[in-house]
Amino acid sequence: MKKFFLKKILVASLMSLFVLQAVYFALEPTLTNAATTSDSVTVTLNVTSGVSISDGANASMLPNVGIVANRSVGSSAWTVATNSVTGYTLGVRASTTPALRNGATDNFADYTATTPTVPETWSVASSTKEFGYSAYGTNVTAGTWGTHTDCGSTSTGIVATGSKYRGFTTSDVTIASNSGVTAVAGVTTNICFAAEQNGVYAASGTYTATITATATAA
Amino acid sequence: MNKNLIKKTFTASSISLLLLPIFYVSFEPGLVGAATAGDTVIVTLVVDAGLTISAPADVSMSPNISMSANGSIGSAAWTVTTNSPTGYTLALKASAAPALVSGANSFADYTEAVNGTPDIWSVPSGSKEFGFSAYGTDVTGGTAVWGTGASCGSAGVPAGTMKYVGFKTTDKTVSSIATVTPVGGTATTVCFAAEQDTIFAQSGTYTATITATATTS
Repeated sequence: MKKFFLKKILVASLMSLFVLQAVYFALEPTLTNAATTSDSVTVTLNVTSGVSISDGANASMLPNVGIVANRSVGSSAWTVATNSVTGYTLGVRASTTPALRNGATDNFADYTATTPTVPETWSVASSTKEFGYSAYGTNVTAGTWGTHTDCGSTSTGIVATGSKYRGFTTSDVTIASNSGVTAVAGVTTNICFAAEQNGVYAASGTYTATITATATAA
Repeated sequence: MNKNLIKKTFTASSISLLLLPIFYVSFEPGLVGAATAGDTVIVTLVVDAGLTISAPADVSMSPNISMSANGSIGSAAWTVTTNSPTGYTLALKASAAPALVSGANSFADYTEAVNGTPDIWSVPSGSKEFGFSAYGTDVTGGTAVWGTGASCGSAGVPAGTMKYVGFKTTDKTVSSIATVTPVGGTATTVCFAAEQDTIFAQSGTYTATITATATTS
């Protein structure tokens, strides 16, 4: 009888132990979590890429060309701002070929550089009349466009020393670029225009060129 | 019931897939456009109209006319430059009529067969006359009007192929062109001729003041 009683106690104890362990393993993680609980949220902010360009002033070249004045210079400027992480490029192009025209009456040929795509020191061949441009500014490559910091004299029409010129095309030519976000105020690029008649007269009248600058987020 | 739910889900998914590309194509250019910005400037260059005329030396006709020399010639050349797209005209006039005078004495202005129309130099007997011709790239009417000479003659004899006209106190156009000139300009040479035919001009120094005026057309 006593032996039977002990056997019962042993079986009951073992069953209790199993049940306790089962309950422990079942509830233990919950109990642990119940002590430190956490959750994560993801916060998203989109910064939209944008680029802006200022309204460049129209340029009146000076002095007037005539039978006793052969050269003229002018300038304008654009300020570009962008938050593009890869920066921007600024390209210019003319609306016509050649760019500087007096209706059907006459025109100035686009400047002919020795290598057409490579700006060079201003020089107009005899018996020709030409119109071209240069650029300077923080984001302009001096090695390409020259070391000048102005466009020359509007009294004499002589271009700035150290400047390099090329002719306009009707497709964009990059004059400035950088590879990062600009200051909020943007970065200014100056463009210089030059015209000259050498040993030939341009017909009197008013000549105009329409130049478009396009800033593109890189 | 379950089959109906699957059908509804499939239909909704298909519609969504069709709508998504439409939204993308509609808005994509605008998004790209936002990454470029442009501006246009007008560059203006004014070319002033201009006109110049050279100042040739005064003319001493040669040889002197005398009892044994009846003819004398001389020349002057004016060079005109202009950048006027419509060119220029060059006209001559005398300050007096007749043009060539020496006090109360004078040479009559050349008398053409048709008044005002240049013709081959010819002075009627019993008269003494003074006239002019012109040659150059831009002479008005070309050789048909002014003759084919390219010199004013020699030894006091006007070039036989040139055509002469008498001076007036009003402008007579001798040259014109309707375009810009070369930078070096265009020269017009004016030939002067005087002759006495079976009559003596009184001795003395005769002068004529001739004014050339260039005007943009």
